[in-house]
Amino acid sequence: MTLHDMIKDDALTVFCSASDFGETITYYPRVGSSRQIIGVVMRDSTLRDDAGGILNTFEVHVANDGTSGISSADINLGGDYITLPPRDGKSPTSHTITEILVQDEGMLVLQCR
Amino acid sequence: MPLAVVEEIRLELLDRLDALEDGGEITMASEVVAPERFGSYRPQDWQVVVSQGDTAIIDALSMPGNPPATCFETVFNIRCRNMPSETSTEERDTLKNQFSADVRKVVCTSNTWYSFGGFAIDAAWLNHELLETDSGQIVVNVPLAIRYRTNEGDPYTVRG
Repeated sequence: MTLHDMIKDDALTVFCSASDFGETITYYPRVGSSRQIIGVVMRDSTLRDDAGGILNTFEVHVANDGTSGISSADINLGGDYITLPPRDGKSPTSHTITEILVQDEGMLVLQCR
Repeated sequence: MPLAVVEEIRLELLDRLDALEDGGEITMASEVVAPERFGSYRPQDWQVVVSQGDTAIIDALSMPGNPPATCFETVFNIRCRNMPSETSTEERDTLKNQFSADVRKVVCTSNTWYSFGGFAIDAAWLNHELLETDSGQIVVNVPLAIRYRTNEGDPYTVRG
């Protein structure tokens, strides 16, 4: 197994383990059908819109993988979105993927709003 | 329940903008949003977000009498958001020009569009503002200033 393979494997089995910090979220590509993936969601960020409204933003860590996560080659910052609970215990809501904050061979860190 | 005059005007503005969702114009808006406190909407391509800005008293258009009439000017910010697909080849300026033109067209429905169903006395478009975001969304604010009169002590009663 190459280092490249180990990094990708760790992204899926260690960093995005649903037994630890990962949770099931749903990814909706702009084109194509949705699928469930595992991501680690940071929920501690809010923005204000121009009218003073409160906008939740999320940092979502997913494997850079076209099956169990989202492939950096496939992601489309012009309409892809995910659904996730805005707080623990609440029903999932939709959030557009607005930016790729970090990317490497194993993981993507996405900003969602 | 009666509505304040400015609320009647806001609802009429939203109603006209909703025509963009019907696809009658070139623009087919994905949605027209009037945000709640907790912005329960997500950025989308061809999205209109309407929010009420400042309200000023226009002394020169207020009228004495018993009761006197106060003239207000309220600015409504109509934000037109484009976030085209990464594979889109449409020019950014084309999107901006089309969206803002269609917004003006659906609001100006007739020669008396500025009266907003008899609740306003005048309306004027203000300078467009380009609000491009860090994440590359294209947002143009098309502000509309609407003037209306009410009884001085009763903002529910319109005055001509």
